[in-house]
Amino acid sequence: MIEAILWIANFAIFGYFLAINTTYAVLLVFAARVLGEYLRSEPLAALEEVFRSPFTPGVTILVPAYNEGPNIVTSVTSMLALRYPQLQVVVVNDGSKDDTLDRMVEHFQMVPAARVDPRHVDTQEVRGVFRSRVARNLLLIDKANGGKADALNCALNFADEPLVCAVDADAMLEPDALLRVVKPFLDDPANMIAVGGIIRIANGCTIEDGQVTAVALSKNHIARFQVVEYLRAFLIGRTGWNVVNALLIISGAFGVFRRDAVLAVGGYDHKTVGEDAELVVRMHRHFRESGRPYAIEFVPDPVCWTEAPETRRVLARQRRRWQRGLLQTLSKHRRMAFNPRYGPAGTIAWPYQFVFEALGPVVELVGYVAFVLSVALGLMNWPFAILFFLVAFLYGVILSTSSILLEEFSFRRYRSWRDVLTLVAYAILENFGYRQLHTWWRFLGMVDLFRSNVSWGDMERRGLGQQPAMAVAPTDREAARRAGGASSS
Amino acid sequence: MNTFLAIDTALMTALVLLIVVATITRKTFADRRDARFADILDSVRPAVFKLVSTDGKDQRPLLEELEREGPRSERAMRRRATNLQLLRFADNLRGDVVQEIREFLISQGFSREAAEDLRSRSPWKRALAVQELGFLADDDYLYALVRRLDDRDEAVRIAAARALGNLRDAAATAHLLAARDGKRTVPYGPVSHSLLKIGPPGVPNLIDALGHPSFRVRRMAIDVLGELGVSQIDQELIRILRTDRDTLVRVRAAHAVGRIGTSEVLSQLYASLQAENADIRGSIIRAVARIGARGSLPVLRRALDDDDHATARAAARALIEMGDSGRAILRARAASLGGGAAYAIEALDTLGLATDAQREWVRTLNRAAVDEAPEPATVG
Repeated sequence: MIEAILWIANFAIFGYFLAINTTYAVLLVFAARVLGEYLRSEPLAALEEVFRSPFTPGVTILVPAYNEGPNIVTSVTSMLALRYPQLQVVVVNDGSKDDTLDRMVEHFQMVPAARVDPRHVDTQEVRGVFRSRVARNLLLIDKANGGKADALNCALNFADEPLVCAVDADAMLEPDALLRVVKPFLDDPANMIAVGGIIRIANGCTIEDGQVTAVALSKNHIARFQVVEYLRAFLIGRTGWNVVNALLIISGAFGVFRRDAVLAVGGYDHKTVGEDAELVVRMHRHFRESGRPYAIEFVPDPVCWTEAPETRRVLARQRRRWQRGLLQTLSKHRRMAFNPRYGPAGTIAWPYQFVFEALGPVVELVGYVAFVLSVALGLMNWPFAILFFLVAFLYGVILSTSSILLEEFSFRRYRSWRDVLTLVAYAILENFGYRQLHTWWRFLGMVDLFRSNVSWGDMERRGLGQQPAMAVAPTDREAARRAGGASSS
Repeated sequence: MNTFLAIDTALMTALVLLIVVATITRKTFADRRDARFADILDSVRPAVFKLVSTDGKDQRPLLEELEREGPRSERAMRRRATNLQLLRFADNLRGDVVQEIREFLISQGFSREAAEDLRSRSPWKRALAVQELGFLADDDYLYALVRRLDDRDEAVRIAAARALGNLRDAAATAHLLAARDGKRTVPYGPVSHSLLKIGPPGVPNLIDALGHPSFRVRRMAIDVLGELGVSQIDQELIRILRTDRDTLVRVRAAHAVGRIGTSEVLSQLYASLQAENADIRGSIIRAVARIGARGSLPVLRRALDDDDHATARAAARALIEMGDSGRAILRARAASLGGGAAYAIEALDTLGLATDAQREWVRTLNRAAVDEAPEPATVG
């Protein structure tokens, strides 16, 4: 009996692995095609066209900041320096306990301003509004703490431009990133409602004046694993889903939205920790239900650099939070599941996210338990087990190495041989330990949800580019406590 | 089962090796190519700089020098480097310089070679060929480029739209507009850019398109006509603003009226302020503000109390731009109560004309609006 159960479990898990990796393989094919098209259609003239066009819509950058004192001035300075014709930056100090507000006021010569809060979306109390004497397009809002979603909603209320760009306070956008990410809005002004850009990991890179000037891999193992993960997730995952108009996630660290569309769905949801994904799913739902044509796109080139966790403790918290956020979002919008009314987002993307991303940790853990039990009970079919392991392992390696190959064929950010070969090595190594740990953290995220643990947890920031001409090194011990504050990917 | 898995494992191992080898090969090849290209670019750059800053006949020796240097194997890369440099200047150059360069390249057979590539099966080649023809702006290939607006590859269609803009031939206008409709469309950005480049010669076709059944085409025509400042269509725009079935088209019509800026249509714009849609009202206020006639002061004053936040704010900002009389209205409105007063104070404050008491009043108003605030997030 037990033997039969284990046998069935093994086959079910094998089938599951086959399905998930085949889905990834299909996404890989889509992604390769899209990247080719993207590179063909992006000659030099394209960005100039966006910059010069009188029809390019203005953008308000929304910067929620909670205890971002060490980074905030550098970060805002780099945002103000972005190459874009019509730009506003709205920084929201979300009740920080550190000197975020003071640093902003002092550096940018902020003075109290009379500014009407239209309260399109309800937020915590706004304590003060400041305008800058040195940067006319900079606005600072001081409000009571309400979490990242609440801070974003507050910034949304004060935004003047038709497009809004949500950016983490510690993120660094490349100078042309906004031009690239806004291009789809210029190309399809009637239908485009949201566009996401690629997030890359800045650990190990050289940063000068808030800009990444030399790309390199971090020496930290955990950061290196995440580089492989991000390449896979963005170059294959997001790019692939984009093809079938079923992109459910636009990273909270860098995404541009049409302001009226965000307001039409009621702004960010402050009751979920995955407010970025939740917003995108809600937009899909709203536009499908109202029968209005819409498009949500991912552009693989506009780069936002961000700091990745370098310790297991912090990474574990982040991944638990992401898993919780995903489950909350899928649960809130379960009505979309397999429902043709919601198009590919409901019939393909929701089931994929639920079966493979949300339930993935459980299935994988069941697999490990079945393996241990089979060995313990002497029921292990060793040839099958070894081959099964090899197939699962090789599938994972194929996907990860393919994402590195795609990167080599497209953007080639990592220029040194050492970095590329290191990435290939980490694409193999991640299957031994890191993947299992990741599964465990995601499982704990599920447990957190059922235990109603909705905290954000701490996010240690080492600080990126506070000083001109510096390299990000693990020795920079500027940690900022982030509770209810500003960062998710 | 095990046999199947064994075969699968062997195949996948081979695939992993293939991917790793492909990555290494690609990197080796790309690094070498980039290094060679950078060298060529460095060698070409001074000549191109000299070329674009030199007048008339002196250019020919420079062009010949550009073409002559380098071994035969590097000729394609050299051509790309030259084109790349020239493309960088393309939009900034005026007059004889561009024409001289183009004529030289055409005489060297560049456009003929590019036209042959238009028939290639590779979309990469077709897109590059279209870009080159666009830079060369050889009128002989106008219809070859028009046909590429219907290419099966979107990148080629986009490149074709840009190339037609470079030709600046009014004959392309109708085709560019038509490319916004149908199964294989070209995005708004490159089409609008090209139509603006073609400019006034394309106006008759643009005016014809105002009655097009597709809202995409109507919107495009309205936007471009507005940017070109074609005053003869102001009545037609007012008609569209009042009657078009698409809200976005109506909004764009109001915007275009503002861009054109003729004060004759002001009374009709005021009448259209009765529109229920806030986006339309806001765009009318912005158009009125842009036209900037003193006669619109009472209308803008009334708009300060519009229910729509964006409309009220636009009116306040317009008044602040209208000099002393506008500011006097704002001061008067700021002295009384209501939403309009808040927007008046906000506008005055941008010039540092609001008092501390007024700023405090706006702050109190904002606080009073916090009636049903959400629960604070639980923090860790």
